[in-house]
Amino acid sequence: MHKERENELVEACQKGDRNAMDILVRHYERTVYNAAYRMLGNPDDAADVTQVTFIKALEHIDRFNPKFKFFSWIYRIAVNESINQLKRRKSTESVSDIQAAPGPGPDEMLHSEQVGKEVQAVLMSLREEYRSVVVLKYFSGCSYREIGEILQIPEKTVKSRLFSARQQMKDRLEGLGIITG
Amino acid sequence: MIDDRIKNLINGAMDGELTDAELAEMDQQLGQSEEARRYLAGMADLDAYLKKLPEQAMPDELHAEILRNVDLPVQSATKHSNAREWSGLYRYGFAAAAGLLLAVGIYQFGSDSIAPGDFDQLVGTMAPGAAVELDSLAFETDEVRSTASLERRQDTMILNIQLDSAEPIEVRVDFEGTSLDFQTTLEDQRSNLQVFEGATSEVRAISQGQQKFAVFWHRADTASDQEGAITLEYSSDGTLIRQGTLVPRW
Repeated sequence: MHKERENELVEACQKGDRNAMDILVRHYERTVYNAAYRMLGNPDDAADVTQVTFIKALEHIDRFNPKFKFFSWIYRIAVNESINQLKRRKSTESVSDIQAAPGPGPDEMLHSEQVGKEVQAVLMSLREEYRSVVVLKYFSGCSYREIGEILQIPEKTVKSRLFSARQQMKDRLEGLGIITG
Repeated sequence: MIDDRIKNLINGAMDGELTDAELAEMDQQLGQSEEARRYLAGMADLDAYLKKLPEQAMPDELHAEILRNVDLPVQSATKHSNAREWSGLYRYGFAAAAGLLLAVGIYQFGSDSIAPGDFDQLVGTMAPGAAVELDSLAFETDEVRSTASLERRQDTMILNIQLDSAEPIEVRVDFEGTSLDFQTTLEDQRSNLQVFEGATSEVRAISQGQQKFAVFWHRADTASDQEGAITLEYSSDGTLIRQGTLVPRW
């Protein structure tokens, strides 16, 4: 969505236009839900976080500064809410707790479903600051700069966290025999 | 053993963030090192696995539920004129929530001329009891002027921050080294302030103009009288301007 269009919709929301709100929510909800799912590994928690994220963002939209990008703002709320949710439930998920993604590829369903669970479990094993950069990179399609804006950290920190996160994931997936070293 | 330089180049290439010169350097190193090529293959596998993770379908009713539960703020010229706006972010079962709601309601809708000291009164409403001043920090640079003071009121620790800055300033309050139990934040929103809370270890705020805000913690069951330090970092555009510590005591 172009920044100008986004700003128009934000302004309309600030004036109480619920149609504009509908368009904004529809545009971002899937990405926010998927980012939350990958942060939390659980569809129910992801739905809760998605809902809370939009409620917090939209009910405070009169305070939104158009100098910032709306998506940066909303993803930041989503990431923080996901982290808060993790703290609240004091997550101790194991591989078996991660709910599998439904219906992957047509011909390798069993294999890729299992691998998908393992990859998600390894993602869940990362510290939150590492997991959040991976999620924003892979599931929200953000650049280093955008991740930095969202998480309020310098780009070089984004880069180093992504580096460390990938290294840890690679090592763990090698240990599971999913990646050959 | 390959060095971090080639690993960094490979990571950067995966993200499409390398310059032509860096790409050429990576190609050269890959041509010379079997180990670097293995590292690239492993990272490419990881990248592919992450990209292959399927998109999750949202629950059918979620969109409608979000729309149903959002009350958009109704903006009016008078409400958002030059009046100071007060707002509180109250969560996690804060004990004085009812008092805060009342106070926020009064300040937000009823006042165009709040006297100095009202913020402190509002803090007092949220955390009754005599204030014991514990520690403070003050500095002034070309970009920002700020004071931060830490006080205790009974079993509540309160950090009051005042800021005056021409450009957006990020303030990071890191309390990871303490056993403080985060409760809430309170803002005096005369300018632009966005507060982002990482409830267990830090609070971040971005502010521009004149601003006051406060962070509240409860005493944790496991707290000792002497806590670890709270670290404050002020930065602009990702560059650290000032860092300091404040030491809470019960």
